Amino acid sequence: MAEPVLEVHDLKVTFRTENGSVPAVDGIDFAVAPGQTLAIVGESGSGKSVSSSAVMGLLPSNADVTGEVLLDGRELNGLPADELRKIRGNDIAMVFQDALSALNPYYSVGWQVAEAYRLHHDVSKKVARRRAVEMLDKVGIPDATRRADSYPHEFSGGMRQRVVIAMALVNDPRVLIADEPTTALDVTVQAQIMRQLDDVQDEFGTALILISHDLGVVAEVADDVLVMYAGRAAERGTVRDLFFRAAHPYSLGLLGAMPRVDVPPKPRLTTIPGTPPAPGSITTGCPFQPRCAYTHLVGERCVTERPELTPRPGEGDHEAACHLGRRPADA
Amino acid sequence: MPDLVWFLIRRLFAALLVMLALSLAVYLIFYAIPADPAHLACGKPCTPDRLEQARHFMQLDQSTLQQYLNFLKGIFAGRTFGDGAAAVHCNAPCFGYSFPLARPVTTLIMDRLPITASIALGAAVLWLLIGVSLGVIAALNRGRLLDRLSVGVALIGVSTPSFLLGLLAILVFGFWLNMVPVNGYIPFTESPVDWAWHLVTPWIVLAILQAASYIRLTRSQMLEELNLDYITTARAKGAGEGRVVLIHGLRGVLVPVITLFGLDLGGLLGGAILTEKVFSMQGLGDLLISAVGQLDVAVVVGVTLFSAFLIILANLVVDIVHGVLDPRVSHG
Repeated sequence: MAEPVLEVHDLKVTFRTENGSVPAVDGIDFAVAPGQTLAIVGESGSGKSVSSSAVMGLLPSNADVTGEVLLDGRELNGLPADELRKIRGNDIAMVFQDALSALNPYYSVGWQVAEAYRLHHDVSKKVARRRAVEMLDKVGIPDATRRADSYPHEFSGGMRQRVVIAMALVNDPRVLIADEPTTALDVTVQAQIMRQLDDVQDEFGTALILISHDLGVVAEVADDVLVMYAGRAAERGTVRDLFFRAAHPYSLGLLGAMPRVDVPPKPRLTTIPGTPPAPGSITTGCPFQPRCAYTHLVGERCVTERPELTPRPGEGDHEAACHLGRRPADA
Repeated sequence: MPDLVWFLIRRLFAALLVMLALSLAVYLIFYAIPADPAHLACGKPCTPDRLEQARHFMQLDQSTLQQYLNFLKGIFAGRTFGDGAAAVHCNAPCFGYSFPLARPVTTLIMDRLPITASIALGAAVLWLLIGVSLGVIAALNRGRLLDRLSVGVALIGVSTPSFLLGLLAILVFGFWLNMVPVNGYIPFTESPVDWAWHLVTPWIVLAILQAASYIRLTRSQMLEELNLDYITTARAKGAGEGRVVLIHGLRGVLVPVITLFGLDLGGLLGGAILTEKVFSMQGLGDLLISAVGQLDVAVVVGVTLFSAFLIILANLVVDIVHGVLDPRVSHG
């Protein structure tokens, strides 16, 4: 793998609340290289979005973030607000899930894209606007010169998401974090948006961090995958490692819950029984143990000892955090 | 923009209907009171003969409906009371004639309006500035000392009667410290400096009282606004906190604030009765109160209708401004 542009080591996020501190992310590592796509997958509440907000320094003031966030080797965590501001939107940009609420309803889309450019470039409004129109055109907004004066509510969901992407890419960021960019969209529009992201990634060599729970999308665009469960990494590896050699029962559960066209349909989709644990509620043992179908093969250890990431057979750094040494499928 | 033109036409037409209904209601209410304006006009001793004469002259001997129609007609065509040398003319738009004051109501209102407008507009600018800035400061310092102070000021503001604050201000700044004039009004055209100097105390008093609701509205609205996704987007774009609050946050806050502002200002322009009394300013509020005391029904009806008109106008302006501030609002 090429030299990573963004590296995260032992990232921990704890929220201080009235009921004590709640750990949302409990020590995760990941890295992404230029032109590569890292997918972070997991259920709601697994800490995916909190991790990406922590990288951007966008968490509220009651969040404690520890660990290293390195952009080209430069530590971002703990950087003064003003230094971080210069990096946000310029070196690391973000595409949000719900484009309607992510866009300011009071300003035209052209203004909003131009603003993103002007925040990091000392140019006139005219130049910024020209750049904004160019960007809107590039992400596939028809008649961009005229549409730049329209307001977000005058666009369809897919077009709005394109605007958000244009806004994120207007400064040619090194890293793009896309937080469930297609969840709110129709399936056909989803495909268009993902292709759009893929195209710009190819063109600019952007490193993409895709936060998703849609394994179909992940299989299509990701190079590497990090599976998160309860604020920790359950498994990580290349996309082929995950899809062909999944080593963690949770990953297997996710794969099993995915509808597929290439196998005979089952009357109902398989689900993972139970719900994810509340943050901070599991202190000893494996966080997935209460929902795991393989605990009986391991025994006591799952309840008493927390599994660490250990190497698994695969294409590279395939690792899983499970006491079961074999692949569950073989067990 | 043709959307806006149609919107205006429809709204103005609706406003006209409301005014018409209102004028009838106001007219009936005030002419139903068991007092005879002619009785006051006929002097003492008041012989039945002279009373009848006065009634006829003031056109009070006609039916209530006829009187109302005369009133409406006067608005467009003017009215003439009596005939010959003793005739009294009230030019269009005639909103009635005050016999005790011997002036058309329209003239009376127009004479008093500059005073009330001076008080209201100056105070409005002040309270908008104070209210919005303290509200924003409170929201940004939620739960901290500055927030508590702002909310405290707001609480004192809403719970203090205007005459109390006004009298205190006159006592302290007017008499004890001898800093400002205690009463009187100098027209702007005469001397802008003296105009402002005589108005500064009522402005501040009214502003403190009114700012309270603006502090609370701005604060809660801004807190809500700062939790919205597009605020996070602005931060993610690399906007500094100042820009996030003032460019991205404040815009949404202004929509309800301007709505409240328009209605408050519209209401105040119809006469700040207590403030005018306390500072001895002869504005519309003073005109209205004196008229009530003298059973000068024509003036009461005129001023009431004028106040209602201002509120309807304020509503219209608020709706238009709303459309300018929020592109999602359609006037279609």
